[in-house]
Amino acid sequence: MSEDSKLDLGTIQIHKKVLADITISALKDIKGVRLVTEDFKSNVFELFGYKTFPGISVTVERGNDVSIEVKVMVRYGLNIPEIARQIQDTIKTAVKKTVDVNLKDVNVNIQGIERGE
Amino acid sequence: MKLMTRLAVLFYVTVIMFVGVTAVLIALNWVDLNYILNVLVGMYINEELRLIGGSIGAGILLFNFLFANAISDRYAREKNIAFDNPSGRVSVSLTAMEDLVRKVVSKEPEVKEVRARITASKKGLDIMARLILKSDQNIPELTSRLQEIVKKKIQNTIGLEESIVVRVDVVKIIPEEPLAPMRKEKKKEDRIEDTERSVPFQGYRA
Repeated sequence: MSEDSKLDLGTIQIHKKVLADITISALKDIKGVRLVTEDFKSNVFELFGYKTFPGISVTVERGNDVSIEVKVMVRYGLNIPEIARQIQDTIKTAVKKTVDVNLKDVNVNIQGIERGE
Repeated sequence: MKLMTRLAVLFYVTVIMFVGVTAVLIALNWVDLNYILNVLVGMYINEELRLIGGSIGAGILLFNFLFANAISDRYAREKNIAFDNPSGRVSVSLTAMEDLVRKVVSKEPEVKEVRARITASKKGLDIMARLILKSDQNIPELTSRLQEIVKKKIQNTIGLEESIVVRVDVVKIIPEEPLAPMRKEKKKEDRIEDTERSVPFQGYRA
């Protein structure tokens, strides 16, 4: 469930939710990109007090390889390969800076294009 | 087939078979009605049986919800265009591409309405745009212009090198209705008629 690393003084565990929170914050800095909105499933989970992160899934594989997948909506007129690369770089930098975890993959899934402001 | 899919298929086949067999047995009068009533009454009265029945029902509902979710996820996953970056995979849903086509085409003033459908195959992208046009348009010229615009926009936006086929289907042509001016003209005519009518007859003059 969580990414952990060992120090002489003990073990540090970082929950997936932390990585999801960092991802959300990082995405807020990118103009013209927003995460997909909540779906029925996340609403049901939140009803029972379980915080969900719609549009973000964090996977920790064997060997502590971490992958993040983000589902986003992109503003009309933006170049998708460029914006996808920007999303990947921003998330990678933010995660590296905050928790010093090397991300294996940042998968970007563009779910829709919407009219800008 | 994955284990979960096999289990789900087995589950649904069993449930449907049970319902079907029960319906046939009732229709053929092979099941005593009293027996069914006894079972139902027993379930209704006995708290343990009610609890078991309720749990089974809730379990079926939950399983149904999870299975529906899994199916919709897989369906959504299959409808993507993907390319790899050094940092990971980028996938663009075909719905997003359809949105893009709709927005590009609806910008043209000659187009009243547009519906887009995209299918992705190994050969490339196949875009189908169904249009409702305003009248008095040169359709061959307009459609070839739209094809070019859509093709360029898709290529620029997702940087796809593969072939893109844009098919345009004009489904309807709506005549432009200059409603307001027509009404004005009508009113004008009415007024003229009114004034003509209002001139009183003054007799013949020499």
